[in-house]
Amino acid sequence: MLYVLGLGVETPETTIDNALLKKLNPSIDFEQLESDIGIQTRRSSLPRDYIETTKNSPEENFKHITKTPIDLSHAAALKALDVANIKTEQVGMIFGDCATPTQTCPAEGQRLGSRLGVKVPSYDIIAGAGAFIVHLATIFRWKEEKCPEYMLGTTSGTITHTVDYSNGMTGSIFGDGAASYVLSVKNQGKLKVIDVGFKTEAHHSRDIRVEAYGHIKVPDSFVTEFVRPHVKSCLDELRSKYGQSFADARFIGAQSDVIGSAKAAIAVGFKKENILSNGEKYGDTIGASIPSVLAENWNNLRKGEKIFVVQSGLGIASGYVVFEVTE
Amino acid sequence: MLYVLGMGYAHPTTIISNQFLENLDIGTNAQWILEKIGIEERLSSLPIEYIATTRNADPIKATEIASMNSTDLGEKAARMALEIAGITADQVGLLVCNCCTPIDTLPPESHRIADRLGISPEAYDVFTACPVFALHIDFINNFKDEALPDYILCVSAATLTQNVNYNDRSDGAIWGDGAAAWVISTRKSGKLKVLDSFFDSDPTRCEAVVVDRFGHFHQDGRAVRDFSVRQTVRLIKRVEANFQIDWNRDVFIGHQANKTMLEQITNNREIPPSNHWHNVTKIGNQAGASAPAVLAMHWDRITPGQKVVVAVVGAGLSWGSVVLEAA
Repeated sequence: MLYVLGLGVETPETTIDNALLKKLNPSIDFEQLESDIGIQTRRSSLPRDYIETTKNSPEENFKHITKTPIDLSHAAALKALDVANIKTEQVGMIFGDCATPTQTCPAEGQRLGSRLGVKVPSYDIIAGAGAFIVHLATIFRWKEEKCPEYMLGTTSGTITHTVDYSNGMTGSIFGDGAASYVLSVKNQGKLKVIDVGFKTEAHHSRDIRVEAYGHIKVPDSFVTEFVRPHVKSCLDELRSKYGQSFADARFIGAQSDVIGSAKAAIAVGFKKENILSNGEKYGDTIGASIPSVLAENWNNLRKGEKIFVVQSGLGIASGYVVFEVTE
Repeated sequence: MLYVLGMGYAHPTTIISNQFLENLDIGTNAQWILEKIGIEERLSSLPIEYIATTRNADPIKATEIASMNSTDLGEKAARMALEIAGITADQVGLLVCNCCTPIDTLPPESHRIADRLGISPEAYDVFTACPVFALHIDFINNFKDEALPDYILCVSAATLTQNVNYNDRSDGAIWGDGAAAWVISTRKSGKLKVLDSFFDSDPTRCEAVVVDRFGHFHQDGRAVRDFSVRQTVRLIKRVEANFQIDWNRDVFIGHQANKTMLEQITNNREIPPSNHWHNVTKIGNQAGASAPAVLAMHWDRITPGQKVVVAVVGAGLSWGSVVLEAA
């Protein structure tokens, strides 16, 4: 049985609010977007005055960044280890994911291992917005005897480095952040993974992507025509298996669409007060978005309750996790 | 039991000869390259005139001028592997890729390859650069049998000549571009049975081999070389201690970084040249594609009962081995 023993999240300091976005790109009605998807602010590791004066050039901004993805992952990992109450030397394996690596080699998991000073099998399992779900799905499907006692996963992204703030609405959706998590199949933890799954739709790689040397490319209809339908269809599938649990369970949806995800959850039986989110503050932080909501609510989770997570975004058509809170 | 059912490879066509590198007047000569690293030619996706005139000073511009990218090469290798395995693309249930030169950092390379093949299986990247053949085999070996689909497709592709600074006399002599693919299954038998897989890493040394996202490749050549030889020998000794290896019958494939290094290894283990398979002399170092491309290129030479030992040390620093037995 797979458990999450600890979670940590780290976001950088610059806040991008809708007033700034409107100043940079007056053609977009950011207030309307806020009322539609619910994102009010997002965090960036670019200085605010840099964004204001340049609107961002991905080739140049690396000279100005305040925090790299590995800085964020490292900080998140130390928090996760602390929450899990284990030492770095107890980690037996590291797998990483990074949407915007500063180096395309080595792997982000290896960079994290270097920061932590551990010599263990380390590599990346790259799945973008679905990283937390794919990491859990992988270990969930592994033979127990193949797993070390403690595994550390991390997912990070500094997507604001790839946003063109002069054009389109991507600036309203995405923020920077990292999350790390301690997993075990040999030691019980606060969250037990009951079920996990995901789907890929490869043709979306043509129009929903982050260029290695350029900007994030996402159509203006990303939330309404990609995220929303996938969240809804995933919820419909979960309802057929678990619908009777929804009324008393918590829900975390895609943080690129805080309002839409909440509406879809209520429509299938979740209660409004049980819906958890942080996209209002941080935007969509890609792989970190779901675990960061869990991390922020870690001390408020109630023993015995179920938590349903549904995600859709860059790198995953749809994915879900069903947790049971054990402690 | 895990089997390899088919393999494929792909390389671009521009030949970078030792004489060409000598003519760049960067402090090297053809004879020195041949004696020190044992490479005569390497295959690149860049036009030869472009390298001569620009020395590839700007890796970003290289992507615009290149004849092929990682996805082009990966698709070609994948199609060959599927054909040899005797299956169609839509029979693939899981697609796992490794790419250190992606055209987009999201979604992962596996989504682009899946799109090219017209399929949408579960897809994500499992990334460690050079020893990826061992990592992918070991990664899949960890799964419960019932959690795997009938067929898994693995692909590794890289176009590192697009990241080389051709004013650097050592880096320019090493790299070639290439891709390799392999179809594996725990349910269907194939030509090669996996007897053993192993993967490990020391991420505290991960800065020894780096591809900067907006820059060039760079490495601590001497430190990596010495470690690679020693560690590969250790990997082979571990295999020799656990399996009945007869180097008069069985075959060794190492990392295609440097022929001189490979000969140090084969001399140490008394592996005759006829049973040391390689392609580095005419193609260069193809990163993660290197060792599996050698195996793919020798597919028809494999004889029943023969063991193939693949042992690779590379970026991360990471290393791994696979022992295969021919049916």
